[in-house]
Amino acid sequence: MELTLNKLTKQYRDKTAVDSLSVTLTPGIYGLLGANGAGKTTLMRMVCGILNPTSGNVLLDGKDTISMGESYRDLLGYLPQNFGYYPVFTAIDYLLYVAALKGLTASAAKVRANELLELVSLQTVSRKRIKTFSGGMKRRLGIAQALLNDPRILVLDEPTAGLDPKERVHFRNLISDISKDKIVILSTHIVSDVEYIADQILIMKAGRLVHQGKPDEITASINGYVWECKADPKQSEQLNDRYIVSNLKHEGNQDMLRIVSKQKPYENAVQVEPTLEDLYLYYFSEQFGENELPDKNQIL
Amino acid sequence: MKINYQKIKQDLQPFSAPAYDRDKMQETIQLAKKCYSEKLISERIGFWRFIAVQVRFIERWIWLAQAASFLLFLFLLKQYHFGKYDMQPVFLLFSSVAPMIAFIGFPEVLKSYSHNMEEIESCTRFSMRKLMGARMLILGLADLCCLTAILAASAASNGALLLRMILYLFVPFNLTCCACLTVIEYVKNRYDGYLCAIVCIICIIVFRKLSFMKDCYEATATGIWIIMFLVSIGYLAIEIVRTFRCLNRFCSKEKTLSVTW
Repeated sequence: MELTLNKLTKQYRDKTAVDSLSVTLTPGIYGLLGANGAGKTTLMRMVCGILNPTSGNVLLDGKDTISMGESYRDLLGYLPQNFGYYPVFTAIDYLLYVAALKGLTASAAKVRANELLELVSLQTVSRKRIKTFSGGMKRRLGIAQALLNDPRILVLDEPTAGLDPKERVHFRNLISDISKDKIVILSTHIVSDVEYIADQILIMKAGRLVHQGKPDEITASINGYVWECKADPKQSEQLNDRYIVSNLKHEGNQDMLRIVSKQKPYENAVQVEPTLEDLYLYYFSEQFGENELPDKNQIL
Repeated sequence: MKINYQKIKQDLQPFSAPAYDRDKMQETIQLAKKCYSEKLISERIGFWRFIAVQVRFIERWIWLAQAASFLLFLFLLKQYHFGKYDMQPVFLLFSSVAPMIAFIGFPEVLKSYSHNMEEIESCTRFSMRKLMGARMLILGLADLCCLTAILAASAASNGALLLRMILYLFVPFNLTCCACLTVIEYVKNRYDGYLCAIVCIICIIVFRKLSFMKDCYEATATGIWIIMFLVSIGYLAIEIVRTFRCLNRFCSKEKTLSVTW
């Protein structure tokens, strides 16, 4: 199975949300990273056929997904970033409703709904109305509805928003378990959600794909750019203003800083192994322009 | 031949069951469950079955409101002593109840947008167009049944005025539906349900005012009503088709799905 995004573009009157993006996806987990407004949600909507691209197309095994219509949507599972619900529905009602929309038979819908409610730990509240649910419970229910038809292509937009760390770990394990022979596209701001489970990371900026690769490969691209140093609070403040600081920890009367910089930012700074979070900050720090980092003259 | 189960049991007693791997047994059970589950979810329902299933998900208050409208109409019909010379209160009643029956259904048709469900519903096997079509079909048929029941109740009281009653009931209903469908087609946002409700209320007021003008309900005006009936039927058919088309195309125009269509 191969999903090809072929020069996908979405142009609005005053903005290009997705700019001629091309990528080919095969079964595996793809983490889509990008800041707010990068075009991730627009891209996901075009993949799901909710938005028509201005130009370009989405091909599944060489066939245009728009012309495939129902047969393509049958393979999809989608969790939007902001999804709604009918307040009078209970959790089980909601899943049965979505199952009907996905074309499942009544018996299959019941079996699948109960299975998934157990999987997302909502079986004890299956008869309660969704309006009584917390944000995390609603999000888990949203994940369950995306999995109803055992989709071959699973698109999840910020699936872990509102989930506590334990639930996020559970979710990561769940995605890892079900992702065999599936294309899973997962967009998130929480880097740790994809760092451990994604086969490939796609980094989007201003509607374009700026980097693609395995997590260890793309973090290796900023080898030598990540430093740790100790500084007093005053110097720490100056460093914070001048550089991308990915972590700041107060240790007594000194601060431990983790800085992303092409040049050595401080005299006692030592190079450390970069993480995906460092890479994210490298690409999306507002302090700098297109991947620009401070000049060498700024070493204190 | 009589089977001696006791003897068979005794003969088999010396033999012991062969040893088996419990883990393999569990694995077999899990695989069997998985196969069953895969077979089950691979089957799909057809469109007519889908429509039948959607009836279950129409909110109960819709059916209760329709039943209440019908019962209220019967009660008022009895109060006005249908068949007496002064038909004015009855015409007022007809003209008011017909847009109200349309009013009940439209927010339910548009609930996908008012409850932010359209993203999920748009990428399922049965498209948004089919879902809206199913809802409109179910609620349209329900409205038709309600109106037919009202006509039947009226005809039972005074069958001579059946043609006029059909006109006085269906023309306001058709025109209200046309106005609401026009709103859905041209004003694309999350609050269309509320706009349709406002349109229905305006129609109720307009037809109430009209019902005070006795000339409009004279037998001599029947020709005008017939023309209005035919025109409203034609316009309704056109608006239904255009609304369907607009449901499929709305995504291409919008800036962000959650804000506008």
